[in-house]
Amino acid sequence: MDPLRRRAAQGLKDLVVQRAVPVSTRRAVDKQQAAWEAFGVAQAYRGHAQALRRHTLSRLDHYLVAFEKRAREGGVQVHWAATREDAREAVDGVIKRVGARLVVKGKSMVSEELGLLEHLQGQGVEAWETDLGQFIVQLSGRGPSHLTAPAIHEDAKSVQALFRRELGLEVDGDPHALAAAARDVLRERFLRADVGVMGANFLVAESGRMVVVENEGNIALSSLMPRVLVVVAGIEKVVPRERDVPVFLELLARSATGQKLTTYTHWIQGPIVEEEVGYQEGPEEVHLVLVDAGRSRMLADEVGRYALDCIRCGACLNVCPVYQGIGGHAYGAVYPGPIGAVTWPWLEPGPDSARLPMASSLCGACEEVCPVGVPIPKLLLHLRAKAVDERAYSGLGLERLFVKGFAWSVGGPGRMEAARRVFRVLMSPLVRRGSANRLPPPLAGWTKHRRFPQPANRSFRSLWKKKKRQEREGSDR
Amino acid sequence: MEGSGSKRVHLFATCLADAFFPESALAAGEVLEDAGFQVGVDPRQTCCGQPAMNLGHREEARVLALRTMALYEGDMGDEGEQGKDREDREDGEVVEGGQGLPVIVPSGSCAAMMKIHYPELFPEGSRERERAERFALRVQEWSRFLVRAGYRPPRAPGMLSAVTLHPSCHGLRELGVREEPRRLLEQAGYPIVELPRATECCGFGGAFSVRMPEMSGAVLRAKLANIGKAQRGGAGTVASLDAGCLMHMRGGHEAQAGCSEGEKGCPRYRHVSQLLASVVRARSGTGGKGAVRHETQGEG
Repeated sequence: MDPLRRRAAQGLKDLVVQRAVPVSTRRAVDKQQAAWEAFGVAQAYRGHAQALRRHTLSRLDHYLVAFEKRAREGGVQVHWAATREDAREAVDGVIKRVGARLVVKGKSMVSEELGLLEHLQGQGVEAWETDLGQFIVQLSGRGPSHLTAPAIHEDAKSVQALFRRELGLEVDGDPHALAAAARDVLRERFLRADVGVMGANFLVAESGRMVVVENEGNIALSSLMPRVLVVVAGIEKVVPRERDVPVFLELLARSATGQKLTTYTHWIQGPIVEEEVGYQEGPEEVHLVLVDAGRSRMLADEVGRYALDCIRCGACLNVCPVYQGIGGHAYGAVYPGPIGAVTWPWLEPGPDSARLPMASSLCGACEEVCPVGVPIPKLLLHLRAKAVDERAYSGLGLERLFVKGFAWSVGGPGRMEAARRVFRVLMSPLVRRGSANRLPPPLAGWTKHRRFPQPANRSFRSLWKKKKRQEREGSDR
Repeated sequence: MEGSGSKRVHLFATCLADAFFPESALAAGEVLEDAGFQVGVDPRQTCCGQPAMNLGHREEARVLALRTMALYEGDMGDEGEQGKDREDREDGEVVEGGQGLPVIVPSGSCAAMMKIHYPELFPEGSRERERAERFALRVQEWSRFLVRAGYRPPRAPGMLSAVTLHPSCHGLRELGVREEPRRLLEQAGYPIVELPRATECCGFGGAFSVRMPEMSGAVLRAKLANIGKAQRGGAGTVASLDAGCLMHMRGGHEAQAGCSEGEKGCPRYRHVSQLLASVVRARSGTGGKGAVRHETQGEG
């Protein structure tokens, strides 16, 4: 069985995932829906946001350079990273130079791409995720299973067990108590940390400022308390002007959590300079690592590039019936769900990621809910065709034979009739009351979960012909 | 409804209906006739090519697309001349003549394939794309065509059993078909029980159900749970505009509940066409027994 199917089956058997994911995703969908409906100008904002994203990406080189200039003027040290390795090295450089021993991390999907947490720990640096969901997945030894709700696959009971096992803490299985316990653990780390590492939601070219949104306050503490701040961000995060940011802010929180705005919105620029203002507050150094790592390859593809419009709200994951059923880890990708299926094959090409676009019924709910209208079904079809053209994973050769066989059998009415008859006859021994419950491959998987109908005795075309003949004979009398 | 002169339409049944659910396509044709249209069924029709496209085999999809379009272009000769004579308007109301008649499709996914995806299969600026763009104008999803044509189904004189409506995803999201099936069913007198979380996919997705059966099965289970709620709310029939969805849901329900249609625990799964056709037949006296009180499977 192919590895994606195997992981999906595992997700379906995982009792905790099945307790948590179907319920939490639907709750998120209802909240997004309510927020969207209450936001009278939602569709107008959506259209504008899409136009902004497409405009920016069509001139990304210009805006990146403009951003860097302003950011540097503001005192931010900008590092360009063409690859994941370059990005890790840039972070390493800062860590080593300042002699950091403890890092506090804000949630960042780019940092997951870089495997930054494990990398820092491998360098002997103590590193703690400070977003509650990320803190939970860190303790469980896994990566996040969602873009904005990293631990959506866990519930209060499983987190209680996790805290007991990994922290030696006995806490009530109640979300407030668990959050309070995490807060106690993390508070001490905030105070001791040497470096804060986090992502950014938007990079404003006009001003060189970085925008980071959050609900928990961990970004505030991670950015302000340590001496050094390192931000890692994908190059697609650029927006042209300060006044463009609110367009996205209005859409992002509503789409992610149903809030009008996140609890905090941070506008980060270079460090406050003591000589200039007479006091020191916040970090003394602010770094930004601009990460490409496959994004320019996406941008070069005329269709694939639309996936870069994404503002990482996670709404498509919440609304996706497949994601709701199997959870995020089943995708086996840093970015799961619908947007992941059209992003990961570009960022980490290979047979595993090439399968992801098939993990979809093409229902279109993702595109419908997307605040910037990423045409995900179109991108899925594009990547499916690409995988076939490139023979990207095993099994495609055999599948090509089936498709050619199918195309041949519907290539003409006579053949289609013959195919129907043959199929009907072959199925007969297995049929009870018009359907069979066990068929050989390639329909074996189908019949594991549903009965398969026997083809009809007469085709529609034949029935229609008969009907017309009867009508003619009837009217002749 | 304007009724002067007969209007002609083509009916493209879809390969799934032709081979597995002919009664639903038959019903679709009967209702079109009741609406005053003369229905042509080209015997050479087969498949729109959607399964090939969905699996990423664009070349095979192109071949089937060209084949399908050629059936209805009916052109062996000069296309330029046909183009001049035809008036193509967005909803496919055109003059007669064998060219440019509307092509009615009782499936949202096949209609969307032909209306939206056919042009995308061919390079921009190519002749094939032009053909596909012209053809796309003529393709209409069946329920939308009827509603736009002003058709009002006959109202059943007696009590009809309640129906819950599953809005098939492609028709819903690609074509925006949302109110049409509901309106037609209500006009015919079918009480409608709301399907909870109705717009969630049934999990069929065409080739997806064969390629990713575990994922498809999981989505199906969630849909069946909601159908169960609608059943408890009084619905004895699940209606949809797509034979693929019906096949998937029915097959899953029978496997899960261990019963067959109409037996306790298993609702009937019907195309909206079948529900309307049974009312039409009852009115014209050609219905099978119980055509008004319960929906029957239909002849064939």
